[in-house]
Amino acid sequence: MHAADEQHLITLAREGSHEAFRTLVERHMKQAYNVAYGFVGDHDDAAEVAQEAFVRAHTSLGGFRGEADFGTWLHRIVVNLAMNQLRRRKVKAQREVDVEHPAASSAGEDPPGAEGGDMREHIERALHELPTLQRAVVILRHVDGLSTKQVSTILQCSEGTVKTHLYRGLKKMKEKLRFLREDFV
Amino acid sequence: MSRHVQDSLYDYIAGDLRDLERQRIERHLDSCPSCRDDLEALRSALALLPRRDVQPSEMRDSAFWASFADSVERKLPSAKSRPRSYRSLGESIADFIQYNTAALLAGSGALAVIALAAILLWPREAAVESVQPNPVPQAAAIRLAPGANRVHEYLKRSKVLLVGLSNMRSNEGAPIDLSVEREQSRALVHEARYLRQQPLDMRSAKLITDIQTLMIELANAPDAQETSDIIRSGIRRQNILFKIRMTESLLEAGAKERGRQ
Repeated sequence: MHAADEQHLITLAREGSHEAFRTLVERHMKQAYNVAYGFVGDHDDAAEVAQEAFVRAHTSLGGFRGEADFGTWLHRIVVNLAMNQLRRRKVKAQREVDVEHPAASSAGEDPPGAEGGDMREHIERALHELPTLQRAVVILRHVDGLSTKQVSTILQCSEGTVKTHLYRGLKKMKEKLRFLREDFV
Repeated sequence: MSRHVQDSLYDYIAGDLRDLERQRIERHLDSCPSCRDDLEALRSALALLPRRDVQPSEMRDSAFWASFADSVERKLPSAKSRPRSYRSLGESIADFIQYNTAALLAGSGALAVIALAAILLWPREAAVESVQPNPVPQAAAIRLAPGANRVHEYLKRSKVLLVGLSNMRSNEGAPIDLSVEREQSRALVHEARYLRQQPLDMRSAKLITDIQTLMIELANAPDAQETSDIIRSGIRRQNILFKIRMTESLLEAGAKERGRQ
């Protein structure tokens, strides 16, 4: 895919060509979906986030100045929407806990390991309990396999900041999972 | 000094450093136990992160991707205001399906009832149907794609494995060796990849995608506890065994229908 070709499609789409925008969607839909899935971990939600990202991209196409390539710009929209989705999910879950177990919610989070059992759940929980930026860099860099430079462009920060958040995020994850059996950790 | 090394530890593990920088980190690690501990902590955390053997997008079938761009296009503000006469036939059909789902379902239901009534009122056919254990009406039978036999075989193998795993019991907490089942799950993942490249009816394609996702999880499950959780989720939440039986019945009905033609 040539940058000039992509730029031409963007210009046509800005001028109102649905065919051009559709071509952009078809080129980027799988990667947008993969990035969304990395955050939300659910196929239906990933499809919803990825489709909404394209709708937002279409609306904001006039403001796309081409400083980053279209894919990276789109990823930024996907990441923002996915993070919003996770926040909404967290608020909803918290409300459900408040209703069902008022005492538990007032006592704060469960201590790690208190509920026992599923290692995968613990890992995903540890990952999703990381502060927003740390979680984003770990998912984009490691789970989605993007380069540090791509992550820095998507999150609009320096590569140094990405590395710092990676280091802190991974270390925090390890601390949260310290209770797991040593042969796993 | 230490902080610089910590910032580079991820790149060091990922092999993204130039030789000189890598050597500098290694020299530092030789003399700094604290950074060595950090390196180990990072390695452990990375090993725990979920691995992607298959990209999530590969778990969706071609029908999903074919409709993805349509769905986006329908959500675009200007698409709604475009004159209908300019819309393509495909878009019009998609719109019709979207807005007339209830009417289509009612229509299909009526057709199914008529077809079933015709089958039941035809004496010889009625005799065949009366000994048929499959409760699926002929009208709902899947139109067979060329690889239907292989799909049927795949569903059967998946069902046997899932039923076997759902019946597994541990003796007094003794560890259960699931290496054979993991191997079978892997084989079923590969088979699903092949099948999904073949022309399939929508129902089978979606079911095979769901089974493939489940098999990937089973192939990567670290222990019996996790295997049991995955099976529970697949059988109770996704109702996968019921879907397999339903699709098998429809495939069998389709094969019979073809035999009669």
